[in-house]
Amino acid sequence: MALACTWAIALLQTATGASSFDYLRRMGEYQWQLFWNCLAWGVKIHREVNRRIVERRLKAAFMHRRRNQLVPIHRLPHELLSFIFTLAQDDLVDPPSKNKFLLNISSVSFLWREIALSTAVLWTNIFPHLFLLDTFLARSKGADLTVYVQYKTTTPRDVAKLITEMKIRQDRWKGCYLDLVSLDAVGPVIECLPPGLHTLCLRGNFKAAQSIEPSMLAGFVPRLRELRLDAIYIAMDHPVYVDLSKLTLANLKFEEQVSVHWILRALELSPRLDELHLHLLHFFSTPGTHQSNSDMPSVSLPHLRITSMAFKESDKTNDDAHRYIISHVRPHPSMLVKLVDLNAARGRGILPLWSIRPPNPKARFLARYLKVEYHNEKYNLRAKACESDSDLLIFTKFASYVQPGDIFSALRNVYTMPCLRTLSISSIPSVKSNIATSAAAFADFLACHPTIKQISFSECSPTLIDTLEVTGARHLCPLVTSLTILACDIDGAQLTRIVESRVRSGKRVHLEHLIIDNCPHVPKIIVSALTKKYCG
Amino acid sequence: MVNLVTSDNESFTVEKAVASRSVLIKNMLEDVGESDQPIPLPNVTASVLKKVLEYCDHHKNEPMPTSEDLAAEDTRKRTTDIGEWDQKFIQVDQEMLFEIILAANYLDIKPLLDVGCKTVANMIKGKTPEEIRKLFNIVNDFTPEEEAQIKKENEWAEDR
Repeated sequence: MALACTWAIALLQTATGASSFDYLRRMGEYQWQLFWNCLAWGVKIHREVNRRIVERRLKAAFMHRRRNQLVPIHRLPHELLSFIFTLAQDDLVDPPSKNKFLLNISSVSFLWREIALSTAVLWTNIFPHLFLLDTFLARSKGADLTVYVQYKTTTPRDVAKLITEMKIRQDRWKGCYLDLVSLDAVGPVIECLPPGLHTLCLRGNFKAAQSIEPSMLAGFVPRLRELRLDAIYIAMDHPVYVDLSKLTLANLKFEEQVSVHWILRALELSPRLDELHLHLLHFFSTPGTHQSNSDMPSVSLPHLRITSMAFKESDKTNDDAHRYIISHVRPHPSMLVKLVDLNAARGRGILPLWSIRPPNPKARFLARYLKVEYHNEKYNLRAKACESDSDLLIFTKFASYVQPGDIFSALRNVYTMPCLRTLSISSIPSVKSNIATSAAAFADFLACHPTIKQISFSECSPTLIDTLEVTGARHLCPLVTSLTILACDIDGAQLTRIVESRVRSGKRVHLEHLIIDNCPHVPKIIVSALTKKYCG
Repeated sequence: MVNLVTSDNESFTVEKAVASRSVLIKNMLEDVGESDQPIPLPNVTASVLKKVLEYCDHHKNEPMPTSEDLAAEDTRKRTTDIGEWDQKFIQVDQEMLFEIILAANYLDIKPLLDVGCKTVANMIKGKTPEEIRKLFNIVNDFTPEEEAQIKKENEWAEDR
């Protein structure tokens, strides 16, 4: 009633201006009755209009929902859409962008929102300043949580507040990413790690790498599978690491001679390792030279399938230390080796780590396919068991630090592949000053790989292709049956000479496939004549 | 060789190694044993099965994911990286993409299902709700109350 009166007065004020109060005072009983009747009708109409607007909006929303059911993406079952959301979110690195993504997908449509809200795992990334923390915790239901504490965006007070809040739910912690620059704030966490922890990533100060006492990590974490120590070191001599499957050590400096042994000891205590990443480590000394490598027992890591190493500075001692570590590891036979050696000094050979022993001797025997290409000012090298298979060796190096010849001589020296079948050379630039050296190194490489059956050159110098010509003193790749030359500067006479030299003697293996395409100096008539005559 | 019959009654004869990339077909073959009977696939059309078989043929020599691999995948951080060949293979229109995903789900070909889902995940990553709606031809179907709730949540996020 009071509301209606206020409304009525307001209505009168609007209708008659300031003098409406005087008019109200002068109204008789009949006028009042009329006024109240009008008012009641007005309210009723207003309510009805509002109800109809809401009804219409709802109807429109429901019609849109029906229409949305017909769009192709909604043919996918809800669990697949939920899986897609999880995949997309997993790929984002920092928690704010993960949560921004969540807001985006839950604002697309009713169905997407329903799916996002019912996918508990999407709401499990917790960090200080998280808006609607309670909402996130409620939507995450009982799913495992990942807690992020980043120094850049957080004050110690915020961290302490979050930690206090999250300690109650410690049994749900699965992942923990802590920035230890503010050690005081996160100390309580690392002093007693949550028991169900699966992933622990600790990051220290890059400018002054620190170490923390192992006792700080004394909590028993039997489910720890992934450990990343970035600019912070823990002496990993505790059996807590026995089930680790992924270990990353980054931005660390080791000054003592025994440091290499510490690392090997840590690897020995983690026999289930699947991935090992040593990024930007710097060793200032290596184990004594009087002790040969073979005297040291190797660490058996039969599950190790991926090893990656990144280097910042070129330094012999550092390279030797890395080589020492890797040559004392016995990994899975098809381990993938990834090397990132961006700033190595000019003139140093490719694969500097294994000038004594190759990274994974067994993998060399599996390699059937090798591709060497020049792309985006980098040389990329990939060895695989077959073209569609996963890599056994990946190497990338900036062209300004290496010549094509270096690649072939290093491969010949440290990574010969006894079962190599297919060789693909692509876009190797021809620089007059070094092409002769490159061709000589390439010839030496081919001489060490007599099993090659298929060779493909794409955008390469004719000097490299020339090495395939059989002369009295040289017969490289005797088993080659398929030769592909694409977009090369080779001329017709040179091609004829090479092909004819390979088929001249009766006992030589004949070329079965000759594919020449987009070579401007080779007339098509020569190609068809050669194909008809020798590769029929 | 295995004979597969699609929903539109087209039959495909493929190597057993290719057909067995599908766990559904592999189990059927194991249950039935040696038989010339065609296997009906009522949920897959010929055009989709052709694409699926192209994928299976290319990957026929790869080891099948074991239950251990699948369990490890759950615990490991997943990425949306897709191999070079798979990327080219999955460059199809949206309609076909979703059909491939549905077929992979029905035929139980986990690696193909992953490729399809990763492709869709890459399509939605980094896009605003409006851009996603436009991409998949979805219209805004929220009621005013829901719209207000979303607005409130987004305001919270903007403030922080």
